[in-house]
Amino acid sequence: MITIECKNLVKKFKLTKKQIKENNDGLKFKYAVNDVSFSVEKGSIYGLLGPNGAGKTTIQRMLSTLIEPNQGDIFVNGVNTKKNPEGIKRHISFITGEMQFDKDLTPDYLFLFFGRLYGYSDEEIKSKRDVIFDDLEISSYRHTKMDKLSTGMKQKVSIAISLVNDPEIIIYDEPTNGLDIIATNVVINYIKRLKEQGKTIILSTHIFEVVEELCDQVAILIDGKIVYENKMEVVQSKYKNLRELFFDLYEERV
Amino acid sequence: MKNVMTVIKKELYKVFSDKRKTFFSVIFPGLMIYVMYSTIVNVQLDEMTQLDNQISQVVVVDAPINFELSNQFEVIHKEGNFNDYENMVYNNEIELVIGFAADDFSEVVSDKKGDYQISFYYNPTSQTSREARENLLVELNMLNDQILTTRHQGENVLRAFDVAEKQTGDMRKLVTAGLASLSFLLIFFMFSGAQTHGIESLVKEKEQKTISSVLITPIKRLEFIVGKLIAVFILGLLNFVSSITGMILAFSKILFAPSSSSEALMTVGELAMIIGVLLSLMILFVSVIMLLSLISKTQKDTGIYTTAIYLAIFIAGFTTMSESFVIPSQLYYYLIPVYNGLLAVKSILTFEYSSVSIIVTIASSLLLSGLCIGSMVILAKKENIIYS
Repeated sequence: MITIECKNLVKKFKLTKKQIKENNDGLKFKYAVNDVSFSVEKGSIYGLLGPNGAGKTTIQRMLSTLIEPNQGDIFVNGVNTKKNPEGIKRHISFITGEMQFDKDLTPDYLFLFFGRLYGYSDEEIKSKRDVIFDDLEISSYRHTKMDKLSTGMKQKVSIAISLVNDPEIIIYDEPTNGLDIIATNVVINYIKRLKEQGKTIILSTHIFEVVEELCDQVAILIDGKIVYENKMEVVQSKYKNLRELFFDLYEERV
Repeated sequence: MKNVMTVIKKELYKVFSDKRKTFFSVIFPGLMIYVMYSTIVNVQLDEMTQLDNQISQVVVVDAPINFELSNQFEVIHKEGNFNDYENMVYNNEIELVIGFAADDFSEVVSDKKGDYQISFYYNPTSQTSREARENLLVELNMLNDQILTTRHQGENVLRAFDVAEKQTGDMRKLVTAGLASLSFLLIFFMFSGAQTHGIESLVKEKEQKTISSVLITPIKRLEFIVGKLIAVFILGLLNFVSSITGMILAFSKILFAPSSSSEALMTVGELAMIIGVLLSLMILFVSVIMLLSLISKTQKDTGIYTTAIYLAIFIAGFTTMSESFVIPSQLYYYLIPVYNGLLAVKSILTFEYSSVSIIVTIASSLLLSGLCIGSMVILAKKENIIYS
């Protein structure tokens, strides 16, 4: 069953005069995503693999309705995201290292704040919070302000907050970026558990091992276009590893 | 509306869950103003008391035998040359040096001398010397009257008419005139209060990328902005109330001095008008600052933009500060943002207002605030603005 379907997505950004001059090609726009289509099955993990600037985050921002595509459509459970973005947001969570939380607030209050934005009562939020915080071992620093927490701790808080609305779909941008090996292990194990719970996960990364360990399907993005897409089992049967496939494709393109 | 309330609660929680922020947002502005102004008031009151009780040190040269000054003066020297003491006045060592002509003063009294001269040096740069001069002139005039009375052997010859001095005018102005000239300070504090929290409100969310984590939830961009706007308004208002309380406490010695008049200083309507003008201005300040915060890329940018508004308030404030400033009656003056607020507050405090000009002031401030909020609504739809 298809949960997410992207059709011919295009996202372009207007360049500044300085950028136009530097590029020296006369183009006034840069295509961050250019005619991208893919679909994700319910309960699977879909990996977007590519170098920096390939368009991974832009696709995820469009999926989470933070930004709108210039062309193309995204369907979540058959509903076009343009028609009911607020409704779609109730089923989606977006976790990104780039995304920050208010440094002056504690994990405890942030969870309450985000829970309220999803329309839950304080009692509902508090009971969820206790379970999730215990699960992610956040309880010991739940009253500490965010600016006093380590990167790994913040990452765990991000995961906890992303679960406040019990999302059906979790979009995860560079989940292990900046984490040490211990924190990386926690995050990877948690993503596996989310899959076991039947969540649909779209994760972007530039780390081959993360995709190999977690994903059911992978799309390789270069310069805003999907240059390869297949199930992981097919990739693993055809190629020695993902790294070899990626660099073959990359050298072809460059 | 629920989401708006959630954002307001979060913004207020951020301030009130932190003792340091609470202190600097609510208590410090009033405390700072109280300390600053009460120091000024106390220094001025002390100066006035000192002047009232001043005993001026003077040198009197060649004084006639019977010449005496009142106990407001202490004569420290009587010998020497009049001009030799000029330097002592120049250096503020004494307040005055008074010199009598060498001629026989008794001839002046007996009407034999008409061009007798009494000279004195005073230092206009010294307040005590100026005060001593005033007192001396009063005493010399009295001496002059006494001599003329003696010469003409009867008071009636010297007095052509009697002067009957009676007071009229709105006595309330005696109390409010000083406040009216300081009305720009009220408006300055309001802007300062709005700016403290408004300057970072939206742009900080963009700079620290916390805006994305909020907008990923079902909240609408408009709800988020309105929530922030109301929170900044509440915090700005608290800051303003704190500043005003500090100001009133600092001026309490002057404002609440025992008065013979039992008449109420202002009517409820006049008080309501002042509150209306100030509230509409506060809404305008918050709206403008929030708009600037939305379009700015960094907090530094917002700081630069708001500094320009600070300057405008100062310029408008100084032009209306003088007690001799005539409050214009033409309505178009009351359409000029901020300036109209200054005019309106001053006109109410000097009881020279017209209800129409006050209504125009409030309406124009609210209209401009509406335009700012409308612009924010339009701009919030633009991805390059909200995620810049």
